[in-house]
Amino acid sequence: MLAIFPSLDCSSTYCLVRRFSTGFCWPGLLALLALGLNLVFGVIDVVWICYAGLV
Amino acid sequence: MYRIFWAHKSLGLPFLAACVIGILIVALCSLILHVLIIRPVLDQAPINQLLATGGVLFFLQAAATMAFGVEFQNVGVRLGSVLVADMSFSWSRIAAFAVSIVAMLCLWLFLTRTYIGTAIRAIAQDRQIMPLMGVDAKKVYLATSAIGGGLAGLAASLMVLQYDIYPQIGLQFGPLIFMICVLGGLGNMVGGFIAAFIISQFITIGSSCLHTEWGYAVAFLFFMIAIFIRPQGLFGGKS
Repeated sequence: MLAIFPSLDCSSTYCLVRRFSTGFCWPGLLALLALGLNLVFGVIDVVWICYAGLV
Repeated sequence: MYRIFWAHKSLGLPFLAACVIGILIVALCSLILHVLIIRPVLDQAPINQLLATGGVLFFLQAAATMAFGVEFQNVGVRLGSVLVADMSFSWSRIAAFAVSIVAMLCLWLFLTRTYIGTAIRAIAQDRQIMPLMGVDAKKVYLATSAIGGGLAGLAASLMVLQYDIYPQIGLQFGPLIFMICVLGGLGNMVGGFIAAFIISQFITIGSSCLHTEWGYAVAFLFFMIAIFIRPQGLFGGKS
């Protein structure tokens, strides 16, 4: 099993909960960037490929 | 991120002041980008628009490399972490999450409670009719570009607390953000918000069960399957 899922080495519910919590904190940034890109696309109708480059 | 690094390290400004300057500069850059690059291609084929904005991405990276070099830089601000139930959470991530939520609420209030916000939503719904009703589409586009740039600047202010700065950092986040937007339904802001949570859970849980790098692969695999099933995005059509 560990050969297929090596990271399960540290796994336990604790590890999974920790990852889940991290995944809950992280998307704020992504959502903020996605919001900006969505706003620009929704209004101007041009996909700014360079949007992340502005960061 | 380089703007904040420059304001904080070179000008010696406090970090928060550097962030404000960074946000304003990105908003200004977005305005200039709109006037110089986007406006001339507004009525052209989508492929021309993609090529034009893609060219800007490479220009920005080259400019950053020329100005700051290829080395990894850091603003050197550390917020520490907090221990909750034996789990350590970085304050920078918690702050990023909280500030993002507040920023999104502010944007929602702006779009629903102000005249220019209402005009922005109206233009998004019908681009042809609104100018006939007296809305100056050019001004609305400029305001939208500035707000979009401001959001990117705010995200950069939060990112410098967590990531090193290097010229290609846009390439690290670009595909991810684009994937989130498409998954949420292009133009659908609520959908993008929810999609960000879904994708980030796939990445973190995926990298927990497999190797770290596999987290992104799992997320992209989910994205491909989701797009096969719902090409308009998970929340497409609910703008």
